[in-house]
Amino acid sequence: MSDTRAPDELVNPIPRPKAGPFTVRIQPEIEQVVLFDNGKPNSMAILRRTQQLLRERGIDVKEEIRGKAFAGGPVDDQTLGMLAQERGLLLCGVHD
Amino acid sequence: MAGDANPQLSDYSRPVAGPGNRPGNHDVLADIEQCFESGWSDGLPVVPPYRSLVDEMRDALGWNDGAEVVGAIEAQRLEITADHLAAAAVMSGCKPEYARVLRPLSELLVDPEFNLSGVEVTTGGTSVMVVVSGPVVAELGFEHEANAVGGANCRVNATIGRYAQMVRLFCGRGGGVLPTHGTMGHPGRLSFLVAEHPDTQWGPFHTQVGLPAEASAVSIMASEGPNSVNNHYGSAAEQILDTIADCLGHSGFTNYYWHFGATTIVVGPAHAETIAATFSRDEARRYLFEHTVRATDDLAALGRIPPEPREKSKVVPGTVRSPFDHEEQIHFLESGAPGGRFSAIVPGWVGNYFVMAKTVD
Repeated sequence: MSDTRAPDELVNPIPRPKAGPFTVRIQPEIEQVVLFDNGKPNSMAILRRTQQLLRERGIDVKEEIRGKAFAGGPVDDQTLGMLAQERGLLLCGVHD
Repeated sequence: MAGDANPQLSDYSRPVAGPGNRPGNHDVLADIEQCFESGWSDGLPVVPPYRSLVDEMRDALGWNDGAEVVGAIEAQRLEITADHLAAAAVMSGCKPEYARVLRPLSELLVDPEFNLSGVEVTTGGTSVMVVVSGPVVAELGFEHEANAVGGANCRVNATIGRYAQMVRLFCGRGGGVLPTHGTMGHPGRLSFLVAEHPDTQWGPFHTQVGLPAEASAVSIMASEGPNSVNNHYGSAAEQILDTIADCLGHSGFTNYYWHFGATTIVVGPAHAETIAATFSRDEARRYLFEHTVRATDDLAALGRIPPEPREKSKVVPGTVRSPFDHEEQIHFLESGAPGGRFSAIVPGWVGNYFVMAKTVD
């Protein structure tokens, strides 16, 4: 005897991200490196050293290094908006 | 979805004929395998989230519409719906009668203050420790004695604890696009729930976070793995607390640099009786705060403090250093079996300051 009642689908437990309000450029518009600090204990020291080494090799590195308020939290929208305006190559965070 | 290389992003939704609103004639083993292949698993087999089971769970949870948004992770443009949560509850093996705990637990997990995605992806390898306290412990039959610190082989403990980890796993990775970075992890990432004794020396756990003593409550804390504290021969409160302080204050304790994060001390019944004979809970907390210290210079020499510490970590050379900024970061939870003289410490994750709690109706 065949069963005619409604099928019992499986329900997806994983939410999917909705489209974001910004796009990501994968090619820098200018030859400059922009560093971003993720707030890990030693990361700023590492980034400052990185900045120095890159400059010694003739690479333009932006002086200001922005950062997250706290390593364990996400980047806030305002900072994300500012980073989105950067035209150079953005390097984010280091583990230490 | 065919061609989708990331199983976490697959959109599996296969109608399956059944004899009614129960999965009686479904190929359950095949569906369990399909859940594995779709990335819908914590590594263990799950109860397949059949629509009929999910609807029943969602009704019990008190959400009328599966598309209702219960929480969101704004930075990831992620909305967590009633269906997502009800499905995870089914998959973890929960019964609908657990909904009175699952509902407030769900609301805590998706509260932006908890930083669910941070808990999931951090290098710290943390879990969500769930604490259940008050009359609901006896009413739902939680194990609060044998192997109580996450290891109780008891369905209500294991499945609700598993549910919290599933929500962390399923909702904390940006819909499957974020990798997790946990360096070590610990077994509590599969399930981690501790139920408190209905009768305590110092009053229910949740009174430490401002909830009334007569209430039932569920609380969460982002946590590292638990550490056992053994003291069988000390008969004075100070001996027990000094032993706990020594375990808490080992040089590898994550918080020594950061100074953030809650920590929970699970006090076994024998230790609780000994300590409570001398100290109130606040006094015991103060004692631990004052006795869990190491020389800042020793920590720096070990490499536990970076060469250029940040201002907010308040590193002062030449002083002693506690892993805590203030004593309110320390919480006591009374649980465990009689017989042995053990306690346990559960260090928190440095990304959260606090234990979050809600009452259970």
